[in-house]
Amino acid sequence: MSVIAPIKNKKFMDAILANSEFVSGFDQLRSKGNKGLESTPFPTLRHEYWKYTKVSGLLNKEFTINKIVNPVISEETLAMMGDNPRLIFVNGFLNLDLSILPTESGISVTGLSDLSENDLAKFPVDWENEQEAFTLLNEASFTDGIHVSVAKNTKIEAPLFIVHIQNGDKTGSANRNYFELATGSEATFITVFEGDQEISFSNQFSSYLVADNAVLNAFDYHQNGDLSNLVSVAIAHQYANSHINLGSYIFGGKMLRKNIYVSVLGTNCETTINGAYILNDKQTADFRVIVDHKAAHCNSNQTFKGVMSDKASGVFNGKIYVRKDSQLINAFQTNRNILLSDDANAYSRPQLEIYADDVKCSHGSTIGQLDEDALFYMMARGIRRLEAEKMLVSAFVADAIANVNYEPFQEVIMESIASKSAKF
Amino acid sequence: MGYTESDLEKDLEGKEYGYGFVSNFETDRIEKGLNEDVIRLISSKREEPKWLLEFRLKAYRHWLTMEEPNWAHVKYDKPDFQAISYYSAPQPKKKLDSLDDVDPELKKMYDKLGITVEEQMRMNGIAIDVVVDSVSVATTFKDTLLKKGIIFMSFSEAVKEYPELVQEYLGSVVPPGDNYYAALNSAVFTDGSFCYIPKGVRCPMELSTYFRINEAGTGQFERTLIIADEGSYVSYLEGCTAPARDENQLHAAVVEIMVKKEAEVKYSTVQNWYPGDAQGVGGVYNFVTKRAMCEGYKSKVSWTQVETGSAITWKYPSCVLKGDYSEGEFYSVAVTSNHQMADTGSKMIHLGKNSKSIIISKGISAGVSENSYRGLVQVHKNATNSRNFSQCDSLLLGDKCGAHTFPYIEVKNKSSKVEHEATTSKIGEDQIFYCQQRGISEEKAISLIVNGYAREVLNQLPMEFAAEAQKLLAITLEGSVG
Repeated sequence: MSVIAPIKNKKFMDAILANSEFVSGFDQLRSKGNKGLESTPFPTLRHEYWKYTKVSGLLNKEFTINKIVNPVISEETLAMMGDNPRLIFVNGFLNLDLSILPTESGISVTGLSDLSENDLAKFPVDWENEQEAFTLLNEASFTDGIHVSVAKNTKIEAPLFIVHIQNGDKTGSANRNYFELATGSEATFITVFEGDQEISFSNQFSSYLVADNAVLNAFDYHQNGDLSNLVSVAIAHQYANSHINLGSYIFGGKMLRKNIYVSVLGTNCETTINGAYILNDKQTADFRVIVDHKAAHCNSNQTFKGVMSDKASGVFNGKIYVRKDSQLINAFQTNRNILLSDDANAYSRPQLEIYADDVKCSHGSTIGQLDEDALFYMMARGIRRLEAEKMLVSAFVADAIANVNYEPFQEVIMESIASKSAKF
Repeated sequence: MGYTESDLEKDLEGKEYGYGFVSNFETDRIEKGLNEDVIRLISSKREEPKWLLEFRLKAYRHWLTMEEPNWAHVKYDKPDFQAISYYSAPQPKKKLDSLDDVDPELKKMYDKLGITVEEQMRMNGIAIDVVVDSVSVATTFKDTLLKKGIIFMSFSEAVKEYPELVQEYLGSVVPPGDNYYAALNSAVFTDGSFCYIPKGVRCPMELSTYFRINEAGTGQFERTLIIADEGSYVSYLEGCTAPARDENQLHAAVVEIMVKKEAEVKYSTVQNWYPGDAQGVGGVYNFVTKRAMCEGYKSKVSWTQVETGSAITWKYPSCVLKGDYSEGEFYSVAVTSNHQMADTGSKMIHLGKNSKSIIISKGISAGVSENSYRGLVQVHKNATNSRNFSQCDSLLLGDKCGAHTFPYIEVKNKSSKVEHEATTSKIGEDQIFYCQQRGISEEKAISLIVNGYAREVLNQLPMEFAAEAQKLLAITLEGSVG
């Protein structure tokens, strides 16, 4: 049966409710999503925030859910994870046989099937009621999900890995994951996306609740298959004195769209959102990043680096809001791009919307090339051009991954940058 | 207690327009409303050729199919297009040959503005095409210019005297169906200025036009067409002030500039339409389409604007850099106070190889105003080795105003370099402290800092104009400091 995308037939809801494979007990959420879809069309290039990414091809395809496969986790991911706890999702379903649940005290993982809608009512589901069709589709059609909570005043040492594997032709998946960090807690989540070389579609939703004095580190690492499509939404609410540290690193996948919304609701918060996208072929990476400063005395930083070659295109659409009375905000936003071919595109829209006066906000955006002088300097010292280019790309991207706090993961990203630039 | 920033804010909040007065001279106007008959009437009153009427009707029919855009970061009551009189001209009197023939009422009006025609003429050698409610009443220095082959006259005269030139270029840069307000303008424009600089001629003086909305309840739809032929140069000045009115007035102008090979046009604007009172009642809607086409090799256009007026400003002077090595510049100071809203910026469309552009935008917001920069830098695939630098700074005076930046940057080749940077901040207490330490009073310090902040743009204005621009800034901001 075809269910994940698109929704052309009216019997969509009945099909989901009748299918026992979907996590049950979320009727309100599903009908809200389904209802919303009736009045919210899927975005076209005329949509202000979808100007540069075309999804019409994706919408004309039908994707099926396929729970039973024998997935292969890549050597690279296995090595990076070591003995750390992991949650393995295969085609959108949590596979407990492959997973290793965390054993440290203070962290608990619950499947959505063991929870009710009321348990999740406290989590943010949208930013300023912004409704996108894909988010609504996720609400209506999500197959599985987890709820992770970290207890008060505990620091979880081992990072928790969440691995999404997509296997099989025209498979779809949709997940909703909820993360709750209680007062004074700290945890690191690393989400890895990988899959085979078949057409697929993944629709992800994550919600983060970061209480006072808590520290959240959450990183996404995309090694999706070459023909895979991904739409993801991450929404976070953070309260006084908390830190949020996010990173998104894109290497694989055909079309990836990531919406990241962070609402800063308490004073003295730190927010870091970084991203890097190293793209070739016809890859598209499209970011929409919003930092909404609703409280005073906060700092936020965004650093996004893109390297595009062949016919790839990279989109950065970021906005900093500083609300009335949110004084003493330092908010910065940087998007830098390197274009390596004449068919590659870079689109950059760093935006500021500021309603308070005692603030320091800035953004910068550049689109350019590798520095010829630097290349010449290295070649003059016997480094081959390809090698020199690789080094320059790595150096260029480096500050977007400086916030990664788990070293083996940082090394994996550096290797991916090097191996991806070798393909240019 | 010295003068503090909060005092400045208070002064700005209470600041009312200094130029609010109404001149009474008889006008010839047609009934309110818009339909094809009105357009035919405008056309016949202006004794226009048939092709121009066709141009208007085509634009009008296209306009009917369009919807008023609402993406800008401004809020206003949509104008009722049927409640506007589309033609208002001072009573046709005898043809004017010299300034002495100008209506004394009109002269008095300029005296009040401190920009008398005579003074301008005598002291600056500027030829002014005075536009009051859409009809040119005095064109000075026309003969001097004609000797050089420069045509500078009102649009309606140009239609009569040089119809083939007007027909060739009208709508070539801003097509009649370009956008909602450009289409409306194409349908109902009443007058404006026309300028042609022949090959290799350097215009010896600054050309200048004053716009002014006078008649209550009339919209003003100017049409300016400037053609700079190969290797020519012209500096064009446009300034406007409008008297106080409670009724919102619509101003939807179109400025088209065609720049040929190796020609250069410098277009400077000081805009001070009536911004509405301290409660946000009234004020001019300034929805203008300005575009320059850098058609040939090394064509260059430079837009400079100082925007202090209008209740709503919505304009993006643009450069289409079609020629190789062509160049576009945009320098802007936009000041909003009270309930003003501005959504302004520039578009740089790079089509030619090695084209370059620069955008310097300085926004100053006070009161409860909203000031947005919105700009597009687009580098197309064949525009190799293109270069753009954009800088957009916002200064906030007061905690109830907003400053926003919405840049759009699109690059489609690997040899171009595009840079954009923007900052938003208020006047630093350390800056004021630094000045005070050196014996400069707080009020002077604030005015010094604001002035220095806008300096980069003011420096771009022609000498004669810079004085007036500074005066305007002073009236809008510094005047209230002292």
